[in-house]
Amino acid sequence: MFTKVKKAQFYTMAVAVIAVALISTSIIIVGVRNSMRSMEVSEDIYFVLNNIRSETLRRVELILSNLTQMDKSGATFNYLEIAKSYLDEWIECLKNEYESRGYKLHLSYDPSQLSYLRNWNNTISTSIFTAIINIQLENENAKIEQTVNATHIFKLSISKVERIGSNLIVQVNFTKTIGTLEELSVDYAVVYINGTRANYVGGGMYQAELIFTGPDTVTVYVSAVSSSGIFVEALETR
Amino acid sequence: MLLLKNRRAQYYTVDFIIASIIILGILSLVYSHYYISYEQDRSIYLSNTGEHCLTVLAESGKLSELVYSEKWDTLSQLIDLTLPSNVYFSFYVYKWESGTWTRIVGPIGENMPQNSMIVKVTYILAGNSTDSSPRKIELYLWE
Repeated sequence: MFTKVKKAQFYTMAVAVIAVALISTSIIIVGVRNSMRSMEVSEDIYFVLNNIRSETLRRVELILSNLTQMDKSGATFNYLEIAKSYLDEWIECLKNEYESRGYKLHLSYDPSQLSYLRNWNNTISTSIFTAIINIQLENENAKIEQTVNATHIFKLSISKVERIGSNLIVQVNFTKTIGTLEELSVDYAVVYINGTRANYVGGGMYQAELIFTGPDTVTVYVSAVSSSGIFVEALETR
Repeated sequence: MLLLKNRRAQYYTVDFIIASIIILGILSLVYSHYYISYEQDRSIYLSNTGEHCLTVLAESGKLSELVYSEKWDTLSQLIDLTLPSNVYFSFYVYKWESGTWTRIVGPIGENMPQNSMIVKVTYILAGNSTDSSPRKIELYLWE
């Protein structure tokens, strides 16, 4: 009888010990997993593409800004060489970043399609830089190809100069066009008319009220400043 | 008769042990599956939150403005305002020079925890009028 009780106790103990061991092991495994720091780079491929696309457009805007400023300062320059150096540096930087993270990135442009044009005709001033950029981005889940028309056009025009008493009302239109998408310069450009900051009145239109100092004529000088530099200037004498 | 009872007890015990192992195995499988899918959900949530934050700041022009003017405190405040209150962050900024990324600042923000899942989201800036060299911001997020 005594032997029977001992055996039963032994089996019960064995079951209890095994159960406790199994539970402890699972708790330890879960605990170790929870206490480990896990680092993930889990960007969406469309987020990466959007970053590349929008910043490539900004890069082209930067090229136009620099070419315009050099042109206005009267410097002699080869626009093609400058544009290529800006684009090549940008492509190298993007490829370095994304290929080190397992993406396949192909970013290219045709140098023969790069062009810079400007038309500074006193009251209307235009700067145009054209670039067509091909983007091909691929990871293990998706492959995206896109051709970006990175043409930038900045146009500044003096639309109205009107004398009312001793005041001079000047209205200026500033528009920025990227590719086929036109963006009016809301909160984008800062427009100065004879050194006075103009107020944005909507529809790409800026207005300033100046004091007319006379006697008969006045020269209105306008400059539009964006975050990447002075793009265009316009002049009108009344 | 006694020997037979003893054998039956042994059989029940072995049976119980095997049943316990099977039940615990299934429970741990179910738990680990749930745990992995929970981690993936949180990772996607953090990643989307970080992407949204950087996209909003980049499209408003603030990211470029603050990075190139090196106003790190203001940038940190803006990121903090853009993220939900339960998400913590830290960031590094790098400059592209001589064909490589050089760290110019970081970490800025909260101290990164040792025992948490951290998600990294990166945004590359194309340059501005004062400095044409690209910048990279690495944003680390956790809950």
